Amino acid sequence: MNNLSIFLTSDIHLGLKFGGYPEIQKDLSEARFGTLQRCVEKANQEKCHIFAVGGDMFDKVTVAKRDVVRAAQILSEFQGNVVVVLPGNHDYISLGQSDLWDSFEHAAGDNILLLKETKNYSLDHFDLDVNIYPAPCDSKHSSENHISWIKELSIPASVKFHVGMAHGSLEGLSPDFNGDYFPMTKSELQNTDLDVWLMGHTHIQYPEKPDVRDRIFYPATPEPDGFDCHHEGKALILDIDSNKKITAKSISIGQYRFHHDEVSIKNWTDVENLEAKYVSKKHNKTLLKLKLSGRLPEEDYRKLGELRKALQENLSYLHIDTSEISIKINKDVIDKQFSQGSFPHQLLSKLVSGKDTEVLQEAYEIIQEIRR
Amino acid sequence: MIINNIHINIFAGLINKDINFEKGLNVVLGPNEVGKSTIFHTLDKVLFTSTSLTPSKFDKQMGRFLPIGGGDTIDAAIRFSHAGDDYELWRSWGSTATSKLKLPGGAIVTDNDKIQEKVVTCLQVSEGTCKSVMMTYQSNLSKTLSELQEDTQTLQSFGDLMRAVEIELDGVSVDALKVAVDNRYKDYTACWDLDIDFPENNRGVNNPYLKGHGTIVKAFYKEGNIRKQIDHAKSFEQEMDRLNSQIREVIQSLSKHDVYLKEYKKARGDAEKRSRLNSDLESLDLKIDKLKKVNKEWPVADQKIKDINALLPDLGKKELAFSQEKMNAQKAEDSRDLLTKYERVKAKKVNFDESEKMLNQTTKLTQADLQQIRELEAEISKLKASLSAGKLFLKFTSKKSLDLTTQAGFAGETIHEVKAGETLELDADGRLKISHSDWTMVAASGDGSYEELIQKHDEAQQSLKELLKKMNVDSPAEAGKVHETYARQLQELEVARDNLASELGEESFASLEKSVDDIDIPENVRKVAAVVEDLMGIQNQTSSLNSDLEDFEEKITGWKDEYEDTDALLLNLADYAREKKDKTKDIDSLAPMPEDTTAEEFIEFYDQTETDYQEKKDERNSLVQDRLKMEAEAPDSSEEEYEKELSEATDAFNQELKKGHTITRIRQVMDELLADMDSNTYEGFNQAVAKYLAMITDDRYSAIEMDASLPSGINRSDGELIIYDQLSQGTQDVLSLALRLAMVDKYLEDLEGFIIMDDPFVDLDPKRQEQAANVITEFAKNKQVILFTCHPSHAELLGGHQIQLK
Repeated sequence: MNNLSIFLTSDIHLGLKFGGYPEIQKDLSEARFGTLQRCVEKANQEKCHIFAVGGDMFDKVTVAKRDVVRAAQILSEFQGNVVVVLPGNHDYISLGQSDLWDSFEHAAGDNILLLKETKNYSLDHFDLDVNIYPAPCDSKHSSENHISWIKELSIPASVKFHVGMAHGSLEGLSPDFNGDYFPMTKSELQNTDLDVWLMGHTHIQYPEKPDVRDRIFYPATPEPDGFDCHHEGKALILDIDSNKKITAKSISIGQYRFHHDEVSIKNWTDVENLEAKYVSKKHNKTLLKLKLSGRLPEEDYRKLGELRKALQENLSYLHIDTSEISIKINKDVIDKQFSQGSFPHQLLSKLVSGKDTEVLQEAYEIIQEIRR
Repeated sequence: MIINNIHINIFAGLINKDINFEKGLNVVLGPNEVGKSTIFHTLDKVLFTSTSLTPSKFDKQMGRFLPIGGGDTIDAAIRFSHAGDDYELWRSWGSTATSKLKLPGGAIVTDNDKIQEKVVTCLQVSEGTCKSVMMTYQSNLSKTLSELQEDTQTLQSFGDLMRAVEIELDGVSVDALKVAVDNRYKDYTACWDLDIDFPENNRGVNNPYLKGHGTIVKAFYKEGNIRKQIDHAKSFEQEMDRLNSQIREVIQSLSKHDVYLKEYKKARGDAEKRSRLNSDLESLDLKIDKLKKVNKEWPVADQKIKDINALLPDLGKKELAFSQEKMNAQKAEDSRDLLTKYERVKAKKVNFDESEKMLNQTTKLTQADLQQIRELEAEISKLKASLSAGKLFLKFTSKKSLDLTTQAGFAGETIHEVKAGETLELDADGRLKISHSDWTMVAASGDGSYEELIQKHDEAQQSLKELLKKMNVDSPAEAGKVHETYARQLQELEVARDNLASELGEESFASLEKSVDDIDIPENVRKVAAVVEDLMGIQNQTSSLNSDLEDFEEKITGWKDEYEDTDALLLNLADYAREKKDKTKDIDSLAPMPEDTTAEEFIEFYDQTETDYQEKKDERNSLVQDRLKMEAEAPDSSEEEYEKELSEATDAFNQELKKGHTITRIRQVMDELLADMDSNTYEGFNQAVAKYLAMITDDRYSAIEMDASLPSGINRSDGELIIYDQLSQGTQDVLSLALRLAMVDKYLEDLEGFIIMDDPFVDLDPKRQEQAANVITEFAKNKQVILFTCHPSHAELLGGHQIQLK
C-alpha cells in the first residue's frame, strides 16, 4: 500500500424527525439513509481504503433499533478495507450502555470497527498499515475533549499512517460559546504528530479550500438538516501519499437543500426570474423559505398564486412570506375600482393615507374577497 | 361626457359596427345574443382598458373578446364630447396594441396613462364611480339589491338597503365586510390580549385554552410547547449525561475491583494460613533472637562478674582514705572559721572598750539630774512672776539731803544721794525697798505674803545654785549641754555592747580567746568539697558495680534456670532455626499477596473490596434501570432539532401576531368610519330617492321615513310605514330604479354625463312601466341615457333615439 484513501463523513444524524416540516418529514428522514448509502457507493466507486464516520451518525442514543440496523447494513456494503465509526456527542458511547452501539455492533459486518475506546486501534487486521487514534464522545456535553491520551502517546514509527479521529467543536470554527462540546484547538490537534485528523460536529466543511499542508478535516454534514444549514451536503475524500501529503477532494453528496431567499419584486419580470430560478429539476429537492417584498399591480399580485403553485409543484417544500409584498394600491387605484363615497372607497382611502401598507393590503384583500 | 358614437372594427362577435348615440334617451333594441352586451363591453373597454398589456393580462382582460372567427386583434373606437368639445378614442388590442385619443383641435395622445387621465377628466367622476353608477349593465346595483333582498340576515332594515345602495354599490356589503373583518379578527385574536400580547386571563402555555382560541393563541401555544419540549430535552440530556457519568464511574470502579478480586482470589484463600504461619515465624524469630542474644550475653556476663569482683576491694580502700581526708578537711575548715570569728569579736571588743572609756571621761549628768535642775529653774521663774505681779511707783521728795538705798523688786540695791528738795522717782515690780540709815521702808503689792515668796524664791535659788555646783556646771543651760554629751556617750556604749554580745553569742570573750589559742591547722589540707566529690565518685562507682554485679548474677541465675548451660542453649537455637526454615517454605508455597501489606490488612482490604464490588454492582444495576426508565421517556427529538422547530414556530407566531394587529387596525378604522357614516350618510339622499319613488308609483310611496339619522322604511300614501321586507317584488324593483337615478343625480348633479341601463321594466306592471318610462324620459332631458332592451314594447314605451340591432 502506497497511498491511503479515506472517505470521510460525519453528522449524518440518522433518526432526525423533522417535526417542523410535517408535509415532508418522512422524506427528509429517509433521505439521510439514502445519503449514507450514496456515501458508501461513492467510496466504493473511488476505491477508498477506509470509510470513516466522524461522529453523530445517529441523532440520539435512543434512535430506533431498526434505524441502527439499517445503518449498519448500509455500511456493510462498503467494499474497501474497513469502516471506522466514531461515536459523537449525539450518539455518544457510555459505559454500561447497551442499546445503540450494542445493536449496531451486533448488526455490523466484520469490516466495521466501532471506535469506542480511547486507545490505539491497529488496522493491521484489515490489511492496512494504519493506526487509528480515536476520541469517542461519552456524553452529549463535555467541557473537556478526549484527545489528551493521544498527546501523551509515543507514536510508533513501525506503522505507516497515523490517523486521529475526534468529534467536537474547533476553536475559531465551531460556535460553542459555553465550551460544552468537547472543545479543541487546532494547535493541540496539530501537536499530536498524527498524520491526519478526521473530525466531526461542525456541519460545514473545513478547510473551505484545503491545502496540502492541512491536516484537520471536517467533512460537513452530508445531508443538510434545516434552514440554518443552507449549504449543500458534502463529504471528503482524503488521499494521503507515502510522504504524508494529503489531497482533499470535496464531494457533493446530499439530496436536499434548504434555501432562504429574500427577493425584492419590482415588476412581473422579477417574478418570472424568480420562477425560472427555482422551477427547475435541480430544485426538486429544495426546501425554500421565500420572503417577497415590493409592490405589484393587482393583476400581477393576483398571479403570485401561480408562482406559488409553480414553486410548490417543483420544490419539496415552500414557505412564502408575502407580508411585505402588496398590491400597488394608491388613490388612483381606489378611484378606479370603487365608487366615491362607497364604504370600500372610504375605508381604503383612509388606510392609504395612513401609509400602513400591510393593513391597506389586508383590507383590500378582504374587500375583494367579499366582492368576488 | 356624452357618448356620440361607437365604432367596432372587430370586438368579439361584432365586426365593423357603427352606432350613433344622441344626447338624451337612446334605446338599444335587439333580441338576445345580437350583441347588446358586446356594445356595452366595447364602451367599457375603450374607455378604461389600456392597450399596453402583458400577454397574461391580455388573456385575462381581453381574451374573451377576441374575434370569434379567429384573429389576434380587437379594435374599436368611440367618439364623445365634453364641455362642447369632441374627442375620439381608438384602441386596438393584440398584435398591434395601440391607443389613440384625438383631442379637440386634432392633437393626438397615444400614451395610455395620459389617455386615462383625460378620460376621467371628461367623465367628471372616477372610473370606479362611473363603472358602478353609470355603467351598470347587468348591473352591480341590481345584483347587489338582489343579493341583499335574499340576505335577510344582513338586510335587517330599510337603512341597510339605503346604505347598501349608497355605499355598497361596488358589490361590497358593509355588513358582510364587517362580518368578514370581525370573523377574521376573531379567528386571529380570540382569547388573545392585544394590549399585552399574551393570552387573556394569563392563560399561558401551562394553563391553556382548550377551545375557542384564535390562531395567535394557537401559534403562541405551539411555540410555548416547543419551548417546553426544549426544556424537557435539555434537562433530559443533562440528566442523561449525569447518569451516564455516574454509571461510567461505577463501572470503572467495578472493573478495578474485578481485576483486583480475580488477581488475589487465591491469595485470599491462603491468607488465613499465611497469617498463622507469619505469626509462628514472628514467634520463632523472637525466640531465635532471644536465644542468640542470651548466647551472646552469657559469657560476657561471666566476665563482667569477674571484673567487678576484682575492682571492688581497691574501691573500698579509696573510699576509706577519702573519708579520713574529709574529716581533716572539715576540722581545718572549722578552725579557720573560729579565727575569722575571733577577729570580728576582737574588733567589737575594742570598740566597746573605747566607748566605755569615753563615757567615763564625760561629766555624769543624768536625765534625772537635769530634770531636777529644770524643775528648780521653773520654780524660781514662777516665784519671780508672782513677786512681779504688782507695779509700784514712788515719788519721794526730801526736804533735806540724805543718802538712801533702794531695792526695786529682786534687783540689787541702789544708793541714791538725794539733795534737799530733790524728788526721787522710783518704780518697781511688786516690791520696793528704801533703806535709810534711820529707817527702812518696804512697799509691796499683793496680799502681803510677799515675804514668804521671797523666802521660797531664795531657797529655790539656793538649791539651784548648790545643785549646779554639785553638777559642776554654771547654769541650767550648760547642765543641758553636759547632759546631752553624757547621754550620747552612754548610747554609743550600749550599741558597742550589743554588737559584741551579738558576735560572741553565748560564749564569753575569754573562752573564745582560749579556743583560738588552742587552734592547730595542719598544712596541705584540701577543701572539704573537693574531697567530698572524690569520695562520692568512689561511692557511686562502687554502688554501680555492685548493682551490675547483682544484675549479671541474676541473669546468669535465670539463664541457668531456663537453659541449664550454654551448650543446651545452642541446641535450642538450632531447633528453632530448623522450624523457621520449614515455615518459611510453607509461606513461599502460598499464592502471592499484594506487596507492602500484611496478611491481616490484605484480608480486610480484600473482603472490603468484595463488599464494595457487590454494592457497586447493585448501584450499577440500579443506575442502568434508571437510565432505561429515562430512555423510555426520552423526548422525540434532540434539543437541537427542537430549536429548529422553535425557529419555525416563532416565525409563525410572529406572523400571526402581525396579522392580528393588522386586522385589529382595519376593524378599528372600519368602526370609526361606520360611526361617522351612520350619522350623515343619508342626508339629502333620501329625498332624491323619495322623489323618483313617488313619480314611478304615482305617489303611492312618497317619502322615506327616517329614524333619527337612519332610514327605517317607506311611507305609503295611506300613512302606513312599510319596511323593506314588506314591499312587493314590483315595488322593490321600483325602489331599485329610484335608487339608481338618485345615485346618478348625487354623483353628476348638474354635470353632463351618461347612464347605461339594462331593461328596468321587466318585472313592472304596465302602469308602472309607463310611469317608469316617463321618469326615465324626464331624466334623459338632463342626462344621456343608453338603455338596452330586448322588448320592443318597452322600446316603444320609452321612445327616444331608437337603435335597432340585427
